[in-house]
Amino acid sequence: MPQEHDFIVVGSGPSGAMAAQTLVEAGADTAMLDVGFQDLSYQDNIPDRDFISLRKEDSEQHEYFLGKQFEGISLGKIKTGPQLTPPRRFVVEGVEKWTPTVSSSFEPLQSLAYGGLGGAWGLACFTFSSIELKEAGLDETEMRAAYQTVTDRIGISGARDDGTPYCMRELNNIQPPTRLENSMELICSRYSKHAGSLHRKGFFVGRTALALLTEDLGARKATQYYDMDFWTNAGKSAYRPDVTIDVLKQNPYFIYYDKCLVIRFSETTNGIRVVVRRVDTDQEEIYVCKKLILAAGTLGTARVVIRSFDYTVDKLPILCNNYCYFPCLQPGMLGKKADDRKVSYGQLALFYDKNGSGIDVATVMLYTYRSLLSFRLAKELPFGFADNARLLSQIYPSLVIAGLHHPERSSQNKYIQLIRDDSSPTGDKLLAEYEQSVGEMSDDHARERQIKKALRKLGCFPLKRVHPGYGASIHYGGTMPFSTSNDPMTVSPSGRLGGTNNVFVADGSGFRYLPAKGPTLTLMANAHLVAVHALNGISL
Amino acid sequence: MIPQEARAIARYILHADPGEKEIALYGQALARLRIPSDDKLSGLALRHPVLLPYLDSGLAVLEPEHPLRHRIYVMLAILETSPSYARYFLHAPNRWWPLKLMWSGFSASLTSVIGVCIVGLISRRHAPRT
Repeated sequence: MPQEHDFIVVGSGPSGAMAAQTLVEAGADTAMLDVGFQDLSYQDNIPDRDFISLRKEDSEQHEYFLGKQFEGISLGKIKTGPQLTPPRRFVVEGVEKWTPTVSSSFEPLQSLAYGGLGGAWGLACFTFSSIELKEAGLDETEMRAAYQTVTDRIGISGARDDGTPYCMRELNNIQPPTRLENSMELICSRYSKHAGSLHRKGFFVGRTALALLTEDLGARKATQYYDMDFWTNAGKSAYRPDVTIDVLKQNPYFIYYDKCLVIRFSETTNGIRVVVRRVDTDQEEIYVCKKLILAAGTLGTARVVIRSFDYTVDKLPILCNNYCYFPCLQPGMLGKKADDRKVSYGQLALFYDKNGSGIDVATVMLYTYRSLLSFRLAKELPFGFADNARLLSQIYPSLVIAGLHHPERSSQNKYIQLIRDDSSPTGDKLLAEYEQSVGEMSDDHARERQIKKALRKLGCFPLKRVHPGYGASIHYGGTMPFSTSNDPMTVSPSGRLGGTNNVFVADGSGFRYLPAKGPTLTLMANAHLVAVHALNGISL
Repeated sequence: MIPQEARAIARYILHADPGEKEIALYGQALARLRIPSDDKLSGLALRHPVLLPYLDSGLAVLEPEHPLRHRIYVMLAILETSPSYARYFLHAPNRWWPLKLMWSGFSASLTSVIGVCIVGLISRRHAPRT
């Protein structure tokens, strides 16, 4: 007998978690279908101590720093996801088998994990500006309230400064910012000195708002500045969607079904039938609901929807922020010692608002590098490894990584297609192509030139440009653009999937534009709103 | 062969001998990562460890993904994640840092130039005749 529920949410990532929480708080009978791979190897084996003391004292550190199967030693060129340390590898477990993707030009990161890609989120929180919301197809009034709801739920720390218009705007209930490490303080001091000239060129620097607690929130603890954030989440100070799902599991209105890969749905007058393939037994199961909320991520949702429409769709557009990074030398930190206790996340962001219009603003996240270990960086220097290691030990406190995202709009040479493939366990594979136009590449290069100048003014001198390939930003959207047309493969402003009555899309699939900033906070706010809309017309 | 190779590479990287644990980890990593070991340059490097710095530096320019470089990389990772060698990798402020840095840069560049010449010569000697 199929399991029946009022609501089914597909996916446990940031969007799915927020949608489910909204439904459950409203008293709705809610089931979550998720594959839900988890880390079973590392989470209990990493001591709750700071990075420096572990390096000096833990004789078993190689197990988590390199991986029990040495999966943390990556040979070959840099790929998408260098922040996927061995304890985070579960985020991409099973993806090659269950969500096969073929492309010569686009390498997306997908997840079937418990918490989805949220398990590797860099925690940077950005609200979209009014014009960005409009371009994306989101309602400003609703989103402003939704941003606050999510902020109150997950806990965000930050400061009000020149970056506030680009990341926090009117958000309230913000915890104090994280303690700024010394190299970032130096950048701030340079910024203060050159603020006038930088502002005239459209550059603004601010503290990144982070989904990281600096004060206790419920059972979650404030960060202890262990600089182990790429390896563990001590005290759950970092918000990850699994934090929400773990709490929801205690609620009688919520049930979580794992090992469930949603294949397709069909809508009838009696409800929505959801077909699932179990990844442990390979058996098919059926679930039934009154309303279905798809939150499997842009690419995951596209697969489900295309199958559900019997592959009658040809190509779908795909949005993905182009991303590159610049390892920089900060001469002001040469000879100085890095702070032992710090957070691993990017604490400063540089915003390039060229026209002062708040649209097409490029965002540069500034990080120091230590806890991902210097051997990974030794591969990128031009000398022998012994020389590289020696140089790095002398200069790494003065290394800053500037990670740059470019804004993204749809164009015809960026698309995905789901094509049948009998060798795949789902009977299909995703084909992706991504090609920037000459104009886009020219705009990106021009932007990068200006940003490098600004970085130099801030005392950070770019050493080289690293482009990990298209798809590396891990920001995806736009496959089913927001529209009021009710056409298939579109999403209405309330999140309803075109051509259906009770199927909703709560991830980035509808976004018509991706600003050059992390979309996770906006995805969560939108997911909350979609759940609110989905609750309409259902008696609880 | 593995212990001898591990010692040669560790001495090259840190001028220190690896412990038994590091040697064991090295062997396990090579097997797990399936790094081949039958190339001529690797054999030469192990017979004459004094050439390791030059081969590594030369390959960094000419063939960064050579199996010999992969093996050195693996050993580097293992040494960095051993508390016995943490002091080599963690930054310690030093008032002579400008001189140390300049010397490190100069020495690395010189080794690189010599290495490119040596690797180039060896490659030409062993290139198939046409």
